[in-house]
Amino acid sequence: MAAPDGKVKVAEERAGAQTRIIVGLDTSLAAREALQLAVRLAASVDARLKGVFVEDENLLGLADLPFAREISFSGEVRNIDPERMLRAIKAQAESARRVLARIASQAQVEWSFDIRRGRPLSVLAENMVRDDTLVIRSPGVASREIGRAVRAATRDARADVLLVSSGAGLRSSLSLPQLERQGMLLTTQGTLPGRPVAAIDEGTSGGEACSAFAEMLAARTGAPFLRLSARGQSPVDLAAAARQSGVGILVVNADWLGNDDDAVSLSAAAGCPVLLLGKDRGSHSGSAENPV
Amino acid sequence: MAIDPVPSDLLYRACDTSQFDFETTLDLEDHSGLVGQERALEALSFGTAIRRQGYNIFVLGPDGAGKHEAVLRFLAGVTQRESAPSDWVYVNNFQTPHKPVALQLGAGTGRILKEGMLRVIDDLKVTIPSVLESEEYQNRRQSIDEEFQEKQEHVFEELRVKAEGEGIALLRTPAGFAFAPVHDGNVLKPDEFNALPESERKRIESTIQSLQKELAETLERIPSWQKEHHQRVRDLNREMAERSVERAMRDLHALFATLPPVTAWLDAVMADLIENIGTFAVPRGEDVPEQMRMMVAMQALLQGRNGMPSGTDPFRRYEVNVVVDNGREGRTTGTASRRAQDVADAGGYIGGGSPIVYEDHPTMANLLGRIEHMSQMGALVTDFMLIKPGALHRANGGYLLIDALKILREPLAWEALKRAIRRRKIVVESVGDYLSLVSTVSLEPDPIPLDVKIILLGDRYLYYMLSNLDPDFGELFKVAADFEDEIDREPENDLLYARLIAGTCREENLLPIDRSGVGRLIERSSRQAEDAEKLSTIMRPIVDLMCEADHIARSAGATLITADHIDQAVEAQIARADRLRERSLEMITRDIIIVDTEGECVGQVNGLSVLSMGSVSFGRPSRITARVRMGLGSARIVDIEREVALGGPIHTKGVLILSGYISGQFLPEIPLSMSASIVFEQSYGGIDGDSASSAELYALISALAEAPIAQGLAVTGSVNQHGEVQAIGGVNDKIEGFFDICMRRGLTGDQGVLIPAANVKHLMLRQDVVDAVERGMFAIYPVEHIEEGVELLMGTPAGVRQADGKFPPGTIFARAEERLAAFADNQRRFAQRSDDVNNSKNRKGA
Repeated sequence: MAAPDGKVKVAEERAGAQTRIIVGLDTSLAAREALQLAVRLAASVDARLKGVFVEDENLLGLADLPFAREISFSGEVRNIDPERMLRAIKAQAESARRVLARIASQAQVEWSFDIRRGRPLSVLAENMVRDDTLVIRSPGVASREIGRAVRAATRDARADVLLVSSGAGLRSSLSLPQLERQGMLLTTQGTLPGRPVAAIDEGTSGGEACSAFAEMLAARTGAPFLRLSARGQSPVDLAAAARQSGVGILVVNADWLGNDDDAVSLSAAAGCPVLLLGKDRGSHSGSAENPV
Repeated sequence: MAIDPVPSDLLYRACDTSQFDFETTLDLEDHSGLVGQERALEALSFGTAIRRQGYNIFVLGPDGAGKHEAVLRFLAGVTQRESAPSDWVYVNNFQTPHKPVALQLGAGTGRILKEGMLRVIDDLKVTIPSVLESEEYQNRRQSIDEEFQEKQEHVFEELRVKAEGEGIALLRTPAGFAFAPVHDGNVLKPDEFNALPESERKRIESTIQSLQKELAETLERIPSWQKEHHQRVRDLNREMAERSVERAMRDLHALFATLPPVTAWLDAVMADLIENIGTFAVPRGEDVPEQMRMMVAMQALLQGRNGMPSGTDPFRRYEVNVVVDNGREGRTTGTASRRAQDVADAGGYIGGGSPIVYEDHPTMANLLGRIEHMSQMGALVTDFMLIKPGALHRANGGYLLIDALKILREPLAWEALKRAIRRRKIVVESVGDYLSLVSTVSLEPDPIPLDVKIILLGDRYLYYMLSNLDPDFGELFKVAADFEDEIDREPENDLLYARLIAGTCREENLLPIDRSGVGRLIERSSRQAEDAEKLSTIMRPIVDLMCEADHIARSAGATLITADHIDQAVEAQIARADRLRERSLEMITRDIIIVDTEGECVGQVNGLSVLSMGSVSFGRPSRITARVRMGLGSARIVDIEREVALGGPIHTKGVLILSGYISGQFLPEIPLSMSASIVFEQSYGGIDGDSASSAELYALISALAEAPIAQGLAVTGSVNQHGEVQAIGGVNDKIEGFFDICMRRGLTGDQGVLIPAANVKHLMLRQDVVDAVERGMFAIYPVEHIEEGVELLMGTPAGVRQADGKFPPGTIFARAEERLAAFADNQRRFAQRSDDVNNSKNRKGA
């Protein structure tokens, strides 16, 4: 992640590459919310935004099945035609690109767009590189599938993941007063200023790095910082404590999580987006006084 | 019977300036009333006092008589005693936006309501966003939104988990959802599926069908959840905004608490503000992308929301359109102006009290008001703020002055005015809508009750024409205020007239006029009235003369306008319009038009006529000739003008009267046998009027008696069957016209004009004519009976029938009767001879 006020020269440290926020795109409301969150995040840490539209292999395969039916949003059941499905996916991709362009431009965030084919979360995770941040907001996706994507991104690619599960309040999760002052509100309702940025410090260097990063983010967004010490408590208990404290975003060391379901459970319990920092974050992200 | 000429002192009645005790008009006060218009004033007084349907006023009188100014001056006095009527405003109708609501408010309070509403909106623009941004609101709103979202996600999650348990995945497609069998998270390919046992395939298909049904049912429930969600958001908004809105509007409510319609509207405003509180949070102005604004506008157009132009300020619907402002700020204050045009320029109002409005351009729209439209994306849209008041709105509760001719010239305006008076309400309607020419969506504003006194101003002809042709006119304009054209010229009125002149001087910023100038203006007024004993009330020509005299005086460096300046102005006026008169005189003096002014001739006399062309009129002599011969048993006079259709009916009547006179005057016991013809020589245009009938009779008698007529004399006057000479019009112009010819040819001392004695009182002749008469070079003869004229013209007495039934021998009438008797005798002999010839033929035949 980028550092505030140029204290840490992220670009030099990361082979001259600017930090990227990657977000999966489609035309659903959830994807739109994820995009808005990603844009806010990118704006707050001077990151580059990359939108990826994944042509879902499952949908293309579904169209080939003889009995496949589609239920429209109005409840109408109709046959699926492979060609029509492909055309609709392409149109969806173009629509998603336009939305990305508009929202990113409004927030003055540098952005790019890519189209891939495969299983959406898998493809996104596979294409992560170290220090990227993947924003996941996938209601209706199995928690295990999300967990696998989180693991692939944080452990294999050593990237970060911002996970927003069902029930995680998005609107108030990340306040950017400076953007509001510039008239760049991203939602019509505005954001709630001042919700704390919290970090779970489980006592490892990764935990420390999380705390340092969360503190930096809090300073950057003008929100209070809250350190939650693990002290043997389970992730869900800590998340519940965070929820009670009205935390806006929770920063957690991904290595600390156990099985694939933990990430989703944590996010659901916290009631806010969870930023999972990638493996070995502590070794390359600098000290707490000088977080990345 | 010889008659004396009119003495020179009766030829021009000079104004006796010694009667005045002022030196210049500076010493005189304005005359505030109307000179000699008691009848009109009484009618105005009655018409303005009576407040009943149909008692509107028609002020009739000649143009230039100062009707407008007089009526305005009168009304200014009346309205000061009356209180200012209500203000009227149009406001948005929140239930039916295309039917704006009209609210009646106390005078001057419309503006207060308007400003109050602007203040309320300005306040709410600050307070509502702060309420919406408060932590309390955001938390509660977030809670509602998330609850809704969770509810949706929950049912899908349940379904997904259920499907997953059956090895089926719930997939999100671009246009909805689908179920598919999966293995290890991947949808089975067709060949993988086909490889499954049939029972398994059937199970999967059956499960998917069941899940599809369940999903369809779930999707059907979503709209009601959305509705519920919106309702909860609305309720939250209402709860949060209610206090702010109520607080902001508290003062206005209290201010208009005694006006239920206003408080009802304020309640509606409050409800609408609370309902649409989100408007205060939506970014506006430059923050809204153009595309979005266009979309919103287009959407509104498609939905037919014509009540409010879309894309405009969303708070416009809370504004107040003050169509009638009777507050002090809305009126032009100060003293009443005399000029109607000043009133029109000041927006129609004068003074305080009830309004006096003069509508200078009474089109239908200017009377009833209009609904303007604004162009938006190629479409014309409108709202209550675009309702513009008409003269009826502004004059409501007071007086509306309209020129009758102007309103009659404007299409549909007259009918619209009558409709409004009859219905006693103002309904704003456009010409296009009225004629069904356009079908754009428009507004139907509440009609406004009408209580106005309409005062039409026009000439008499219009009044009588409307009375005859328009059955509604008598019903709707029951009061006629008839302005006098003339007033008596007497010392008291002379002074009043002088004060009128003084007031005009001040109003027109003219130099003061000295006593001689005032006297000369009074004399000009008499001349204008064509009567030495009257003054004309038509002031416009006199005011024009004053302005021109002022110009001459200033050019000469004078500080006062004197009689000399007035005379110069008159001469200049004549000179400017003199071309035709000059050409006419020239044609006579060059003998192109033959008019003798010396010598004598049988059956030929100089008649006098007046030529009027626009504002110019002048007298011109014409030769009238008559010839006689024996007729066929009757006295037939051929009017050649009539035969060729150049004579008008009155002229024809005059000639027929001659037959009556001849028949009654000569040989009453014997059938006449005369054929005569009379003609205006070298006349190529139409002739009407009977002012030449006496001249024609003189020519006829001269022809009968074979007595020559002196050509140095000219004649004007009509005659009746008894030979009495009757008054005519234009006597001054006629005398001056003949005088000018004689003057150019050289006055002989034998020249003059015979006029009806009844016209002597009308004489206001030019000074050069008066001078010539005083020198004995020209004479004006007042003739009462035809015998007097005969003697003057033919130099021999006409003769009076004696006891023996005969005229004295040698008199003109005796000679005429002898000629007629000879005609009759010849006729009898001629008839006898014809009978003899016929009898002889009959005998031979037998």
